[in-house]
Amino acid sequence: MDNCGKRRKKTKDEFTSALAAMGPLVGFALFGLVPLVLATVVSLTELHSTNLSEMEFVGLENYKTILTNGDNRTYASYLSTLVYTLNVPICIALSLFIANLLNRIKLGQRFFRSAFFIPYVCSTVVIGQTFRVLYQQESGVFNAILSFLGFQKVGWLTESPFSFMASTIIMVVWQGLGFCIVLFQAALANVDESYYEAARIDGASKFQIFWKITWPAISPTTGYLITMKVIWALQAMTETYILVGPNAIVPTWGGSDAYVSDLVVKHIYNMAFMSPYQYGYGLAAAAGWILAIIVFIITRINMKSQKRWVNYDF
Amino acid sequence: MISKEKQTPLKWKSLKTLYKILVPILLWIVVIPGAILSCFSSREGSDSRIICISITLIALILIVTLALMNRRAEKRYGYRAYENQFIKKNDFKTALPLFVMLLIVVLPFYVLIVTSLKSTIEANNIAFTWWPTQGIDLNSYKELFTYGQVIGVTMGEAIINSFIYAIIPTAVGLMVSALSAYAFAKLEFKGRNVMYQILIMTMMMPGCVTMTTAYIMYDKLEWTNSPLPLVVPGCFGAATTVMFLREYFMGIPDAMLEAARIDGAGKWKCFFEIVLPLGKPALIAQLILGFVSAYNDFIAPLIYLNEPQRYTIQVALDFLNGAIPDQTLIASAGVFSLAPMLLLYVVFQKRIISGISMSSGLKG
Repeated sequence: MDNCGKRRKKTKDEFTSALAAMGPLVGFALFGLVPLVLATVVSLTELHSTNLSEMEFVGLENYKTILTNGDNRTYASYLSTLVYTLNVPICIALSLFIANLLNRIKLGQRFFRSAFFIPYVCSTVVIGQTFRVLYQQESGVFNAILSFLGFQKVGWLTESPFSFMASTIIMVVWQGLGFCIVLFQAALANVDESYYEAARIDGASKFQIFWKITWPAISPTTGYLITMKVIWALQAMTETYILVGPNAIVPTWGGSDAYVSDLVVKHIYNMAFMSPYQYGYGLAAAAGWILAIIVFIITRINMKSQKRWVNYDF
Repeated sequence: MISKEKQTPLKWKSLKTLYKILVPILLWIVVIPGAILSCFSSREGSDSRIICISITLIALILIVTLALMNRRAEKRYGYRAYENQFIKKNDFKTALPLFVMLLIVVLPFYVLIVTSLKSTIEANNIAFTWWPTQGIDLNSYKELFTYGQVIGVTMGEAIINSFIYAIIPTAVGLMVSALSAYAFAKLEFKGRNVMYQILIMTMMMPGCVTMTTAYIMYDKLEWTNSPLPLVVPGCFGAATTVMFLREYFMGIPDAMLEAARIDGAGKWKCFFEIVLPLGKPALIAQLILGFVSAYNDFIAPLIYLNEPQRYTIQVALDFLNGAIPDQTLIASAGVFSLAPMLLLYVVFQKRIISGISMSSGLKG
């Protein structure tokens, strides 16, 4: 390995190498570590402006408030996020199905893949705005199609919390499919054809072939996608933020004052920056830490369980 | 042996020629332009429109008839006059769901583009129309560059902001990451493994914790009215990029660097003249992916940019939507903001897709 420095002036040479490697670490120390430490400190205090001298130390009070006697909005934001995360299994199942079809057609594979991948490079803002127009009750395309087919018009984004969440999930799945399809297609193409031939000679059914060969062979990709997409989904905010749009009617959970569209990160954003619910930076930072711990625990569970079903030996 | 096949009558054979010449002509010269013309012709119910529609329909019926005859010929005599490569090679059952999926993927883009072409009155009408029945109106595209009173910035200015704030951190950050990846992959120094472990650990830090306090920090630095919070952190590179590039640089044979070393090249010369050129595919993929995600970022600009003149296109789009209830203007702004990304995608499609499957760190 030591190829660029057989006769080096040892210390100076090593120092410059280390310096070259430092870049991202320095960036993290300046712009990641400082806010992280600040968040830890601020989460223990009450703070309503960016003036740090106004901090009032309250100990673990903020965490206690959120976990035990938080208001409806706090609990509802976790509920919303949980429902929102349902997009992950749906997206993965659908994209696996499509990737499988894509690998079976012989002509036009690249065309379809390229088409399905387009939403990935488009911004969530434009996609959200477009979908909001599609979902509109009177002038929306989905309702135009529904009434053409003889169904009643549905208030996609306004009718109930679940219709709002379903609409959000449809959009997120639509946007996320391309990414999963590309990874799944690469994984599927990598499975050795001889396994399939052997199975077919032994008279295995299609279902058996999928379950005994394809599924274990692509399990590293599935595992990776589940881990990453869950992490992203738990920290999402833009999608619902845009879908709600300006002064629109948003359904609330069970008649309370908690909007369905407020995912946890949006709730943290509201706490810190939005004037009607200004709970202060202290609570926001504490809520951030709690979400981070939840993300960490879920990722841990994910990784642990994947030890059982992910197969790296194919 | 005597062939049991019936002989194909001449009638069917002449079908082949007919099919080969007539179908493409009908399809490309009559049906598609006819359909477009009849959709976009200016007034509903005018004579020219009715003629357009009827010609298109007749041509369509002809094509369908020919296709049906073709099918019959195949069933009876095992002889197929015309073969479409796509249909011949693919199983219909497999292709059908893909076409449905394609329609679903295309639908929102279609609606976005059509809405942007409609006149203001039509677009804001309650009834949805599938095409601009009142003729194509490009006025809203003009307004993107002139209309900025309400939000304080025109879309043309905002997109320039977006480009500047996206390209600087992506390009500088990529160079820093590449240097770091080279050091981790090919150079030896004390604490290399420890440093790499720490770098990997930094990736686990969730953004939700620092979102609020980073704002306090930038406020203390008096950066909140400038684009600096968007630009400067990115210039230090990203751990994910380092990880991906390190993996890629490890694949460069040591012997190559050794040979350069014997010829008297230093480690920096090795980097600039061997590693960077060899790593070009990976670097370009990362550059494009980084640029796309920086351009599409919404939350960070929303938090940090307070002056309208500095808004990025994503933020400007959101504010435009809140300020103006005009669907055409919003739709054309959307098309305008998507256009550079779509262009980039069309040009670098292969690199983007292979970059995605490479950066997941899975083989294949």
